[in-house]
Amino acid sequence: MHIFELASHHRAWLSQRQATLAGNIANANTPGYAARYVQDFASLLTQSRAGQAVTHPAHISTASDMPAASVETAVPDYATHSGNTVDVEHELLNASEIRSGYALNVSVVKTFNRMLQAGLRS
Amino acid sequence: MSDALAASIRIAASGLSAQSMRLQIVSENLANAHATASRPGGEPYARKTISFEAALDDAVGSSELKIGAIGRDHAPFRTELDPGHPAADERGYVRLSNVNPLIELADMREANRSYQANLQVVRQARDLISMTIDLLKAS
Repeated sequence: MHIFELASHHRAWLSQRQATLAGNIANANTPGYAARYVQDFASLLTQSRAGQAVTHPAHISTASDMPAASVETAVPDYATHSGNTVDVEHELLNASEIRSGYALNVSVVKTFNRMLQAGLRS
Repeated sequence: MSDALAASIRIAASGLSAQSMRLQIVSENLANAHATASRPGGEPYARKTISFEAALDDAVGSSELKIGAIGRDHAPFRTELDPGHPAADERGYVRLSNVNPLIELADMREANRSYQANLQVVRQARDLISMTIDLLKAS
């Protein structure tokens, strides 16, 4: 059932990204606001693996102790006169990334659920 | 921890209400652009300004949008020679408000765009939630 756990963590990470994006869009006109970004999933995953003792290369860590993704302010490419560093175009790109990632996540869960059900039925 | 998707809708809603407040201020300014004082030598309508602040929501680590202070623009009033006007002073000058319609229109445009962007965030968060719920409908 590792795949469901992993999918669940991925979903939580995507949701956090969506919340961060909402904050950035809402504050696109706030003076002095620095845009925030969530750390990428790969680094989050290796971070959670680092916490576990892996004694064999075939060991797969259980992702149950996944740490919360850290939210950091990125080094800005540019800032407006008011000190705001939100790049709305970049956020738009981010939004479509989140959407496609979420769709992938949901269909993976759906597929594995169907496989499980097929196994139970037969 | 509250659900991050619900939080993102809440954050976008804070953006929506702040931007509509901004639109309200713009419309007040435009409506009163030609308002003069009712008595001689009085002050005409002074342009209103609005400022935004970020309010950090610790639960999800991102910020809602909060309306800061609503203030007055201290730019000098325009004056116009119109001795027949009821608000004209003893030299015949009328003080007109410091609203610049061009700036107000640009501001309105920006508020409009920001409103649309926030609306898009709400739409996307709702789509993501419904994708999850659709899992239950599978097979």
